[in-house]
Amino acid sequence: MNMINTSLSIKPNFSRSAQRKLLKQFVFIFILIVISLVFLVPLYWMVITALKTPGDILRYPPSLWPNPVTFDNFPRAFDALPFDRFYFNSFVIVIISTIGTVLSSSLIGYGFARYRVPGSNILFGVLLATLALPDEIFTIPIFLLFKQLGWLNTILPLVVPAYFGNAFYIFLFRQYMRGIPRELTDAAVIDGANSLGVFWYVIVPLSLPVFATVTVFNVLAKWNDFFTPLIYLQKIDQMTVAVGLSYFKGQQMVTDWGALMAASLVSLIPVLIIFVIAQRYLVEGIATTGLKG
Amino acid sequence: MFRFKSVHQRTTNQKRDIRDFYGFITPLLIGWVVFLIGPLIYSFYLSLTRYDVLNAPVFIGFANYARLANDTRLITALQNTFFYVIVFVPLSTLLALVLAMLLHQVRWGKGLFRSIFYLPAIMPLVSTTLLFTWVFNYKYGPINLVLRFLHLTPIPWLSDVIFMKPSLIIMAMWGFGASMLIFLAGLQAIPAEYYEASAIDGASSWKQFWKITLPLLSPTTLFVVLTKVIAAFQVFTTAYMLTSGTGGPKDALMFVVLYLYNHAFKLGNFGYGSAIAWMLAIIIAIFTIVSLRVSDRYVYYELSSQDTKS
Amino acid sequence: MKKLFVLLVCATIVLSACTGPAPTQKVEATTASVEEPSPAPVSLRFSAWGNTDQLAAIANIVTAFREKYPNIEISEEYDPYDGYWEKKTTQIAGSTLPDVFAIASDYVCDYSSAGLLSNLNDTFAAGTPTADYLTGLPQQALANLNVDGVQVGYPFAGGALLLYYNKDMLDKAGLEYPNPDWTLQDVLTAAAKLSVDTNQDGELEQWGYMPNYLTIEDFDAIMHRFGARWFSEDGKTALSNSPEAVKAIQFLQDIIWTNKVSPRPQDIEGVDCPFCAGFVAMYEDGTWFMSDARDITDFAWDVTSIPLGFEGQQAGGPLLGNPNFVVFSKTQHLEESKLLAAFMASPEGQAILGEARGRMPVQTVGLTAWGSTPPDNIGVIADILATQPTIRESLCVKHFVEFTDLQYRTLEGEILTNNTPAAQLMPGFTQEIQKILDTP
Repeated sequence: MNMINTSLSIKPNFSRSAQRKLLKQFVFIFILIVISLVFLVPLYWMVITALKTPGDILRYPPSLWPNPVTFDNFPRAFDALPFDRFYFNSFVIVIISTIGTVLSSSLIGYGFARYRVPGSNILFGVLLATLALPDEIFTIPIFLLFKQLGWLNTILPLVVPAYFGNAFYIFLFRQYMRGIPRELTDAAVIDGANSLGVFWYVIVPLSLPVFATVTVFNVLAKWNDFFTPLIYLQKIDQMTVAVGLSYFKGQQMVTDWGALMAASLVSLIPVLIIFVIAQRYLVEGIATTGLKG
Repeated sequence: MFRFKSVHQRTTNQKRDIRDFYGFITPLLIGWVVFLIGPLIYSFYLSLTRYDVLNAPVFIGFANYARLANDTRLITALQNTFFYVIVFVPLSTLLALVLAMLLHQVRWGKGLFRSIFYLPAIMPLVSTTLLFTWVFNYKYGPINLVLRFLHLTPIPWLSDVIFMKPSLIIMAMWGFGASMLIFLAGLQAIPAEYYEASAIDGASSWKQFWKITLPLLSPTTLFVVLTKVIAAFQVFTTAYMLTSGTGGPKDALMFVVLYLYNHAFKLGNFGYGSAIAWMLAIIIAIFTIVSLRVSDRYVYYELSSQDTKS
Repeated sequence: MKKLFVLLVCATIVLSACTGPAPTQKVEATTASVEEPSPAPVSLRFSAWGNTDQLAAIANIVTAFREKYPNIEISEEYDPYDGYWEKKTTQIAGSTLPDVFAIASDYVCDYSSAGLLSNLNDTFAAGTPTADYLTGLPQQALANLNVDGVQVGYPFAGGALLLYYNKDMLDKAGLEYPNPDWTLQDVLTAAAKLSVDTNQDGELEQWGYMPNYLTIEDFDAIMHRFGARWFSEDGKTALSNSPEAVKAIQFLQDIIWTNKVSPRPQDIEGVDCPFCAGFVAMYEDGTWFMSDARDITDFAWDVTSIPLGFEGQQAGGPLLGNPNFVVFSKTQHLEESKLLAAFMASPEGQAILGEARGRMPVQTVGLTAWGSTPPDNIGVIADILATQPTIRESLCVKHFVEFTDLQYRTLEGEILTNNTPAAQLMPGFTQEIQKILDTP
């Protein structure tokens, strides 16, 4: 599929091929808009549920517009629980662990990407094997480990492991970095860079899209992480937003949907902000200036 | 641009490479030693015990593993899981790839569309599940309303054993946003020059796709497919939410991880649950090794492919 | 330089203000009987589960306790319903259970035989502060938490099964409201007139009657109304293969597929609350459903006790408590823990619980505040508690959770879908149950 070269479009061009390209754009954008509407439905759903009264929510089939509209769910949700603490705790955990994850996983991923030495294949295989182990079974063994270390009731179990790499992200970094032309790293070596220098000055700038991607993924995963904070933290003041939201759920069936949706909507905001900021880096493509011929 | 190296230089390079490699992956190795080995061994030990958590584990040898072979419900769970993997992974990958390519082509609104498509992946799962239970509802859901309007029989999406898995797969496809982003990053990495050069040589869009995009996207594709498969084998949360943890009537949505979760946490058979987990891990590991071997022929790498030349 | 110094001082002050309380001291009990807690500060860990409203009520009770005993510091650990199992499991495995915690009746027996619960017998001795707290508790509720002569916990919230009915729907059909004398036959007759195809599409949109499929005790109640039982008295033999049991299960299938007064699974799939949505005229559920029903604005409703069997068989009404409070056997502060646990069940604590109008208190004092209208007929609950036996057949059934899991699967897969008629189903089903009971 043809990549349109933006530098040529400064002057309006009414040639036939330019018109066809423009039409192609319109068609694509139209398709995307239609698809977007479908994907906006869940968000719409959340919003109207957050604006419905409990009686309205019990109605079935659900009404497509609140009847009546109420904003009560928001103060109700935030009065019920210490969300200010939840947000603070979540921010701390997410920031500390994301820094660790991105740093360690990128370094390790680069190691796997760049070097073919005895043992690297086996170790990579082991790495992938760790992805195959279901988390549920490790709940108790790892809990006991952290208990031995005396880390219960702290955020250490939630953030320290991040500094030792994450198999999924390591794999992602490796795949991406393997696609970087060797000439670029060789050129840096000729210029006198050591391996860390190559990593920092050549690889990282060329890998901004994957760095941004991993950051977004990790922020989302940590923000929504429910079980780990639940198990390692004791007092309600230490809990995160993800755990806090679950207090609105009832046993088995009827849940305080209004408050849950209201609180969930607000908790979406930080994640969305991170995503919007990361967009800039997702846009930048690989620099082509270093590539000769 | 490569240079012929003398034998001496090659050995020194290799030594230095080994040092660098292990230097880079040091955090991983330390992490494995501290956080992985111990729990791994203990978890395997637990799979050799009868352990209801309330009382201390009782060693019973390989009895749990023997039980695996005769467990009809486990066989159902395995069948369901394989079905899910085989259907979900290709569909979901295709969807993510197509949308990524579409998104890659437009010049306006990239950021906006990207955010919107990623949105479902960000939505809390409980709210998406709630939405889908309405969408699939037999009497009042929009899908069946359309079917009734067209004078077709409405489908019991969430209560008929045959339709429950397709419904789950459709629901799971909703979170394709992450894969789409990964594909986008991969597409971004393909230098524009390749397309321009081939256009000058007269290549059509289709040929460009097959000869440039697909090969250069192959490391990314491998990643997406492989990680999706590994994750699909471990499908749990969506099935749990949809059936309140029961696996549905006649175990329609009983998958291996849900099954082991029930045994480990609800029924007090933590030892047996651990054995199931190890069995699943071995299945996934075998599959992964085979895939990597096979993929080596089809996946094109740049950074380290030079090694084989020099 | 000076600025930095000032900053450091401020930081130190702030940090020291943020640090937690001083470490606790161990309180020694010098005599065997319960005694007043020593004035030295003591720190207890306390946990309970629930949604926001339920936890707020419990937090209020804890606050009242703190006012009475300012030297006892309580670290509150509140768990949501979600993930409750994982949390408890890790706490048990790691031996980090709180000093006082909430437990469901289903698990009391297992926890007790694993030695996790303290013996509370001495808290009833006359003259002890706990004895005052425990007066007024219904004997039956206490007996449910007594395992082989050892009292292992205190009841906190109780409940009963009720028949909720939609007054508007009954009025429209010109029918009388149900009352405690109604049998299943009366219900069926009324339900036939209430099951309506409102839009003439060949399928019903309204139904007259629906039992509760999520509450195991309602499943028990169905059996009892036909004179059948799941287990023998000692909980060791499965009795679900009797002709009465077959009739009971067949009834569940008939109301959906033959009499067509109850919805099929696909008719209500994904609907959080069919009764609230106006789909079902008469619906069995527990007293916990009351707070949700009070959110209904579209129609008037009321309650009565669940219908009797065809020949007037009693099902029972009261339910086992959920939650109850117990004391961890490995607590460092036994006397203080007993005080706290007993206080939760005390008249004062239960009155606070009743005011929240969420979970139903066990003490009569609490019932007064809890039991005010709506609905009009709320007085029927006190009658049920006073006159009817507990529904649950026996407390200590081995592998109870495995049994209920099998029960639910069979209900979902075979019974409600009419895949296998009751007569064919029960023998195999009973065998499976017996297998579970026989496992060590």
